[in-house]
Amino acid sequence: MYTDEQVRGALGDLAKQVRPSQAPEVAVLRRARQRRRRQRVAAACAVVMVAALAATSTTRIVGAADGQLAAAPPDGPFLGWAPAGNAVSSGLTGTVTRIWNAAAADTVASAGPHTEARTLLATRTEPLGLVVIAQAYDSAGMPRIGFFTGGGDDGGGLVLRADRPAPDPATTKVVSLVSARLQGPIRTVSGDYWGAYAIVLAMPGVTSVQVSSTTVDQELRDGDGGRPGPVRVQSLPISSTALTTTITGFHRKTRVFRAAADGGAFGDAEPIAAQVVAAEPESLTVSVMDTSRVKPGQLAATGDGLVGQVSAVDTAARQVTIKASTAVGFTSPAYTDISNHPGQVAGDGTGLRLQNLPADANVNIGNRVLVPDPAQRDNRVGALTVGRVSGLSPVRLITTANLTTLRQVNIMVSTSR
Amino acid sequence: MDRRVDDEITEFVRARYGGLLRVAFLLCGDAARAEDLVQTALAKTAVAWRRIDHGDAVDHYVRRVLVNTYISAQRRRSWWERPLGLADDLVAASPYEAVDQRDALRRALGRLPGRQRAAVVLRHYMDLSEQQSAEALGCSLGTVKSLTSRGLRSLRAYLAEEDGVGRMHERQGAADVHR
Repeated sequence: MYTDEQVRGALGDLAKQVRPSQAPEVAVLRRARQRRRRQRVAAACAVVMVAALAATSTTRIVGAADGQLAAAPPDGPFLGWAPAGNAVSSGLTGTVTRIWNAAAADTVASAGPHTEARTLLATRTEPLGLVVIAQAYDSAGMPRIGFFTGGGDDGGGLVLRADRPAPDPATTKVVSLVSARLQGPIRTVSGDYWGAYAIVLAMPGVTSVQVSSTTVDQELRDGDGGRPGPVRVQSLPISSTALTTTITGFHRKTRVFRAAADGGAFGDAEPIAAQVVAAEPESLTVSVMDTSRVKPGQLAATGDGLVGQVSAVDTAARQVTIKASTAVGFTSPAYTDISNHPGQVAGDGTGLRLQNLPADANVNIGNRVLVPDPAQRDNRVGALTVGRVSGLSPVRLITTANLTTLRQVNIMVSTSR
Repeated sequence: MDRRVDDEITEFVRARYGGLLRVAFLLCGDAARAEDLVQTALAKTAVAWRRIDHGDAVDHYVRRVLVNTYISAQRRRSWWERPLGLADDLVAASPYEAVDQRDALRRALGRLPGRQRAAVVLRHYMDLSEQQSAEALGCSLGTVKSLTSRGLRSLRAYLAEEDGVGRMHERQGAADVHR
């Protein structure tokens, strides 16, 4: 048992470890000048905008300069957006809180009891049943946001799918969850090809939302433009994840934001961001903040597709070597999208080949080829596009990710939740 | 900024940088991020320099900016980065007991939520009163009491866990030697 004095002494001892850099005032003054410059530019823009608005005497809410909507004032640490959706009811918040606390008791969610819950979205959709997004404090007083699906009209049967820290209420323009684990019991994977879903709620004032994924070809999309309103629940191919999904919000025809989607349903793989520090034709060296969960064999990808496979981890230097998918010796199980012919991709130093296909496999130029992600514990969920067929006999692929200009990649790791 | 203000800021930064850096290190647990946090807080203070009543007010201001910047950064940080638990394999070898203890404390602090961690550091490292801590955190006195009490309770529990793991590794080490 540590007394207050021991804690105080230990904190002092730990703090002594850190040594200040030489002449810190130089960096501070430089940063201060940058901040002042930015403030002046912002002030000038604001003056121009106010003048433009006054001159036209319009009531448009979209700013002239950058398509920004006026943000709703934050509700303390929570988003201050009014509840949205066609299924908001008075008893729903209590039901959601009980479900959230029950999940916390099973150590799935943040620690309960959850208090001061408020509903952001409650909408009924055909595939997912009742979809609810709620915000609440956890037992430590930290603001959280939870995503629930699968409920009946009264909220009974709802299942908590994701539980994250609440987003910054001052700057957030959209909240989203993309996963193939949003139906049935927790962590269960959908059995349909179109079994992944994007749940999207944009800030008030957004008149339409568009969800796009690099895992689906343009001709397969059900319509192209955004749907009316700030809410969208859209099905996507089961290989879609937050990494491959982008959300765009519009106010009438003006684009208000374009943002990467968020993922993280229980059971989903997690992408760990890594900065590229050196690129060779056969491999990449990337820098990772925490290498403790990175292991050889894990896949590295960008939103466009597979980059390669982790081949070595240097814990001391916090660096990871990734063998490029086009490198000699790179092999991985693979299958063709939709037609589902199993095979193996192999790098040959300049590109990729798809080999070991069944004798009756019908492969055409342009076919998308997917590689299962071992971090997903399911071959179809979050499978990464490795390339498209560019030539036959032998079957050759062009990688979808551009391996020559990478600055950041994501290493896919399994989650414990 | 004119020359006189620059000189005042330079003097203030030189006098306070080391102390603030140690506080920032306890808040974020990483030397590079601590440097970034302190420089950001001091740059914000420098921008507001003319608006601040000088004397103790500058110290209060920079403290509050430091804590707010840290908590905002915690909130913005991707949830993927949330510490998931005790990394057994990172426990150092027993001959370096002081290093072990510092590592254990750093890991235990890392498991506290941002506001609890800030409250513990303000109260038990900076020795601020509850009122001063409330001003720095921008919350009520009761909230500071609650955050500090919960933070300390969790910290003790995590440190006790760390002790247990350390002893287990020592026993394993001894067993390996006997084998």
